[in-house]
Amino acid sequence: MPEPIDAPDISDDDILWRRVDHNMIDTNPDGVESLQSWAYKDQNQEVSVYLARETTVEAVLSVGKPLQVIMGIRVQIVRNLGYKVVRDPEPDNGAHCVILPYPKKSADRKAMAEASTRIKASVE
Amino acid sequence: MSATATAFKPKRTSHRPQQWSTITLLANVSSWAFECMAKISEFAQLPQNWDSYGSNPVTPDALRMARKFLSESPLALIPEPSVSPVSGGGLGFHWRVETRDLEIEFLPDGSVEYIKTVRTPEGSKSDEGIVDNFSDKKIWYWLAGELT
Repeated sequence: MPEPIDAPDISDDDILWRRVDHNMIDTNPDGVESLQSWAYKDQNQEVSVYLARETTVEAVLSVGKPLQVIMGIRVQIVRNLGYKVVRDPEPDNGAHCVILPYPKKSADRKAMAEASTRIKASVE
Repeated sequence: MSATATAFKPKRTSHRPQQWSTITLLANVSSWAFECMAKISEFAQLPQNWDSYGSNPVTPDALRMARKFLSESPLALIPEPSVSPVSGGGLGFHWRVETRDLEIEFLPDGSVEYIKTVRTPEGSKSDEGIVDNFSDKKIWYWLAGELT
């Protein structure tokens, strides 16, 4: 199996979107939202994300479940933790990527969660 | 008309010790624990692929351990958690108190792990491990800021 390639056309400043269950977001007493580390956990050991500049909130949510929300994270955060952003286009969405290798360490998933912010749909 | 009552004599006159378990009076249980139990029961009904990434439903072992946590932990010391299903069939409890953040995860196989994180202006520092004793109070004193 060929070594997955960290996409050279995706810059550190790019934003990745991940669809998550709304129960994984807390609103703290100060009003700031925080994401739980299991938002970056995946049974199939493949963290699915979308390159924000190549898709829309609506497109990402359309293949999800009701009440899911989108969180955004800068590519630089992912790469600084030692992970690659690998292109994995889906038939209906070429912006799909995966974070590899799978982040097995809770601390890494926590760091990604801490660096994520909620993305609101442009038209609601 | 006269009221009558029938008393049944129990067939069993002795009980094996392993039949006994701890009973917690509802009056002594934190109100959030009821909501937590309700949420856990709700998550127990989640179907296959509830997360849209192909996750299994929450497993009986994860459910059992989450309920055990609620029955054996020193709830009076514990603030209300946020509860969530976790990909793969687990459950997660999350707390954030000031700069301290705690996650306890009930894994699909029934094991339990924690990750505690302290946020500072320089960044976050995390420490993770296994939870093997729900009655241990140290982690709750840490969350309250009484232990480093």
